[in-house]
Amino acid sequence: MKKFRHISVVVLTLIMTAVMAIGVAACDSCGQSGYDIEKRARTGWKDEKVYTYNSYTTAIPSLWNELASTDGGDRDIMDFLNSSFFEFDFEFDESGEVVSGGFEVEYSAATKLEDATADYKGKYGIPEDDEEGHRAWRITLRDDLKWDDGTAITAGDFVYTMEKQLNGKYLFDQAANYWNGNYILHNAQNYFYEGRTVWLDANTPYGGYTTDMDDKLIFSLGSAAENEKKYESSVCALRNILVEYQYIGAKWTAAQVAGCLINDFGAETTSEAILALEGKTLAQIKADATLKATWDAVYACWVDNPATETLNFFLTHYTYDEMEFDEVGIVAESDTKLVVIYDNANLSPINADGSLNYQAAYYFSGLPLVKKDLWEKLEVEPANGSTVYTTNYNALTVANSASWGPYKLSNYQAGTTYTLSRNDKWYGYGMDKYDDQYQTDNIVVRQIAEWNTAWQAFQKGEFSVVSIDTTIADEFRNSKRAYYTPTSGVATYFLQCNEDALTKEKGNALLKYKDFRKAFSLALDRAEYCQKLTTSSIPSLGLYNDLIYYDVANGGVYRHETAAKEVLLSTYGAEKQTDGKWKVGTQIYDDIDDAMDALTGYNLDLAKQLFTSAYNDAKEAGDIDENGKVTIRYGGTENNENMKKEINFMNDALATATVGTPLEGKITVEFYEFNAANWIDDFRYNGMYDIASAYVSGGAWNPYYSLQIYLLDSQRLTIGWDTSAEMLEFTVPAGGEGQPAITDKLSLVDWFYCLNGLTGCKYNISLYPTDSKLALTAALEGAILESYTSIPVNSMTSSSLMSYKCEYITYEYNTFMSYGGVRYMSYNFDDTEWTEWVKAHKGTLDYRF
Amino acid sequence: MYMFKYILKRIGLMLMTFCIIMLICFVLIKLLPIPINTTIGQDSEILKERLRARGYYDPILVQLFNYVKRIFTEGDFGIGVNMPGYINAPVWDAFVSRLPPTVLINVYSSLIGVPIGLGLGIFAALKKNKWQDHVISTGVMLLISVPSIVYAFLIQYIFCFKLDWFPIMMETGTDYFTWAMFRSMMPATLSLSLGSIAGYARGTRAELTEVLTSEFMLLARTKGLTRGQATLRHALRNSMVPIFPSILSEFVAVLSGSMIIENIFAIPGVGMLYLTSIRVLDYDFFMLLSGFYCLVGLTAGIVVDISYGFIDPRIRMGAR
Repeated sequence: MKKFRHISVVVLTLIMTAVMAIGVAACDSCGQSGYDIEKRARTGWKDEKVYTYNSYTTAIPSLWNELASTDGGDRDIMDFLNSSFFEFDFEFDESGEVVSGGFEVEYSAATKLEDATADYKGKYGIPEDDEEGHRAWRITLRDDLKWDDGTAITAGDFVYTMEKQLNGKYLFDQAANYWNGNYILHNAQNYFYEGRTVWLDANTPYGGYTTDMDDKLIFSLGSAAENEKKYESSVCALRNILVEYQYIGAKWTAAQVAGCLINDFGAETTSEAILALEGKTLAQIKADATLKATWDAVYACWVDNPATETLNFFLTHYTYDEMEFDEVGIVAESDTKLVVIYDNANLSPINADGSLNYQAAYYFSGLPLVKKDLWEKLEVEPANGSTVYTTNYNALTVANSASWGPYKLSNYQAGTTYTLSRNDKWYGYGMDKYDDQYQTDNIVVRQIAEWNTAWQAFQKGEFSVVSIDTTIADEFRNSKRAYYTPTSGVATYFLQCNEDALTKEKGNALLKYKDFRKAFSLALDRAEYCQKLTTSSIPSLGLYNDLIYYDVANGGVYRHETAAKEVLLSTYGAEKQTDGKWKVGTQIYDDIDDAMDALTGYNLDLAKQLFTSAYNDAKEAGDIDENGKVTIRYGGTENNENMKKEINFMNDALATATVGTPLEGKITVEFYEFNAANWIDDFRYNGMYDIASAYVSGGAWNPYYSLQIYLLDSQRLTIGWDTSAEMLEFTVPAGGEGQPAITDKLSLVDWFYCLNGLTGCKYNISLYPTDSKLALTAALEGAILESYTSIPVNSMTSSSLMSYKCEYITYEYNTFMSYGGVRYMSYNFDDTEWTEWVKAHKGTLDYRF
Repeated sequence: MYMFKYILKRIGLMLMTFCIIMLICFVLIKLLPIPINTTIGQDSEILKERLRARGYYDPILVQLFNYVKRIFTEGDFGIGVNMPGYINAPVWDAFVSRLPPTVLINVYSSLIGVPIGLGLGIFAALKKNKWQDHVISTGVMLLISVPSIVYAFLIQYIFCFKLDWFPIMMETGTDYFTWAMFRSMMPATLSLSLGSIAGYARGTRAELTEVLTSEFMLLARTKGLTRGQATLRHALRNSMVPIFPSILSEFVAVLSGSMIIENIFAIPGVGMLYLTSIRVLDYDFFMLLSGFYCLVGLTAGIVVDISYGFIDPRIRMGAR
């Protein structure tokens, strides 16, 4: 019997060996030296052969409705179904080659853009005598705009669509773009909320206090959670001010806020007495002697200006006035003339010579457009128990979809696939400028959740592009078919610095100590991190990478400026010599760029010193005992392979950097699974974990304002670090237009306000020359980095392999055009040729070369 | 008659249990704090206003009443709010559209797995301690020890990628009964069935081996039955008493789909929906899926219990 058992084991072993052998043999069969493929020129949309671009995504969008769009995935379909008034185009040299980084802005669905402010004086909120701060733009549309069924499109359709966008019965999120975005469409917000009664902080609707509103004002210091049922989570303006200036946390209770008023502002009363005001109208408070006495005490500690500050304590159930849509700033003057009127003048899309600049194509490229008959057919009345109208327009099925862009939806299966096919009615197919573009006839997208599946299908010729996963990065990163797409995002570790969350018992108290946080930063070998954990990212030492522009039109990159370089060198320990040279480590560099190249941010010796000093300080303060372990929780949604690798990397780095220190073998980074819906608050306020990781990009073209992500409590993750108390002494050089030099010591928040010229700033540095603003930006960046609460790690770059079937117009990344996408794509094979070619190569293609 | 009463009683209890579970689910999720301003920079006013307009701030009983009324009067289970790929989509339509691939794959898996598993188990029992038994038992141990995700990757790599026997991904479209669709479902079916085959084979072998050594089998042989007759008429039927209910329960259990297998072969099934609905806090999806799985679980319990009576007449469910 034993013999048979052995035989069976041997047989099974042989089977397994055979399976492995197939795999190995499969790899061996890949030993080719490359394919001889002739790169063909772009033939454009007139080419009669059929070209299909096959791609994949992790989630097929369920709606591609501009008005209701919820995430970036929706754009994958929307972008092809819509057109732009103005669009970017590559700049080409005399030989027809793409100029690196060059772009132009051209008309597409529009033929003219002009400033019509003068024509609308006295209307739509533009004063007769002063048009400052208002702008009306007239857009002349092409007269051959059509839907994919041939129905003509007029300026009135854009007005109709804007009414739907702003109609409060739908409550579309996107509506807020017209009052919270870069431009404020006249009366957009008022129309959205018209006739609606909502709970608001009293400041928002009233602006100033008068006694006749006493019975409408309800005192409340409650948090959003406390006020959820009574006031639909509205909170008074006072809370926001106190949070902004870090007197309280956003989740503090009414009792805690009352305590703050007593302790920090000297209100001469008790918490209980203040809490007795909760829910009372100001009229009720004034009518009761006891309540009135408490109110007077609270009032005295806070209110200097009764007209503006009284309302800070109150909520109100406010009803917006009824209004008609024709009071909103969008007008169809004729079938082709459309005018939009803004309450601000942020946009300058036209150059002095009348040509379009990047703002036209980036901020003002289009307005939403829906097909009227289809919209009305697909509107869905509110469900039982709801008052919100919904719509199935551009959602769920092909029949529900309408297009006025270069492609239309021709196939859709929820959760599985969709196909976009050429829209023959698109105006662009009649324009010369598009003759050599849009060669792609069909775009087929599959939903694939597992990267390995996409990778195998790609090698079989079933996909035109695939991302490079870390598992194949070493083998394929040098492939000629690989291309790398940089992003403006910097992957950053945010370290917990909220002292309430850092305790000896939790084992994370060492994070209170700046030396410890700095040592953590210095212990990270970012180059190794990028190599081991990413496919193609590069180390990042600053808050901003090379894709953050301060002057888009002229290619001015913040990171390339001397001030921005010097701040990194100083922060990471390089020393500036008296002769202007830089010493990095032991090496002296004549050129600042060479010094930057040598800078790694990795310094084990200094890290050890700092770990030791942090330990000693913590021990002295009783934050750690001699045998105390340090446990740092790293937050994430899932403890998958990538997360494990990252945590292992951190643990290895810390283990190496603590050798020979009192913390040797004592620091452990462990995974903490957070709820994705609440991860920010769980880090900021609840201190549930100690390291949050995020890609931070901010505004790619506004390094000044993007600092808010690190400085303002409403935006930042590391609220435990008090940026309103952290002082910075800085000298702003005199400006060329008579601006005086300024030397002052202000908080980081105050400097931020000055830099951006925000309301309440002490100096308006936004009016100073660019060099002054860059210098202040660099100083603020340095201060943020030196707090070691935000640790930049790497600049995100995604890497992909392009199929042999098709080619981008360029493989040099362009900020506006990327690689040209489907619009400029050319093909080396049509669909039939491709099938044959793949078959001729045994059905599997090799992309290693 | 007693069986009929027993079934009615069980169904009644099942419905009551179902209602209680659903009520608990509904109340518990409505007691959760409503997430407002969950991302930096989000406009919370519109979000709040939309939640209010959708009744999120109404008393829970009012919400429950509206929810139940919507289902019974309009067949409306709500729309996806946060579910990726199904935002704004009716949750019932989304669920129903994803059920066929999951069901089909599991039906095919059972159709392949049950006969092969039982056959191997019977064969191994009949050849107990012979080399055939050892080969089968070793194979069974191997298949049981290795998680199905490993088979899935191996099957995809060898049979789909290297040998081109099957497509790497499931075919698109909703015409589920074509040869191309059937062929494209085979890799997932095989991945699911290998574990089942091993389980059935092991269980059948163990049960049948025990029955074959029973005294009544000796009696059957002494009555003059051939070995085949005795095995088929007596041993096999007895050994099926614990096996058959497990086939039913496994089939019902797999209706929930295999998240990993579905992901690997790009199958638009229901495997991912439930977990995702919890992760993204999509209440309507959560309620529908909770109801479905709850109903499936409760029904499976009844079906399995009743099946005992059919397989073994000695078992009288509900009899005093």
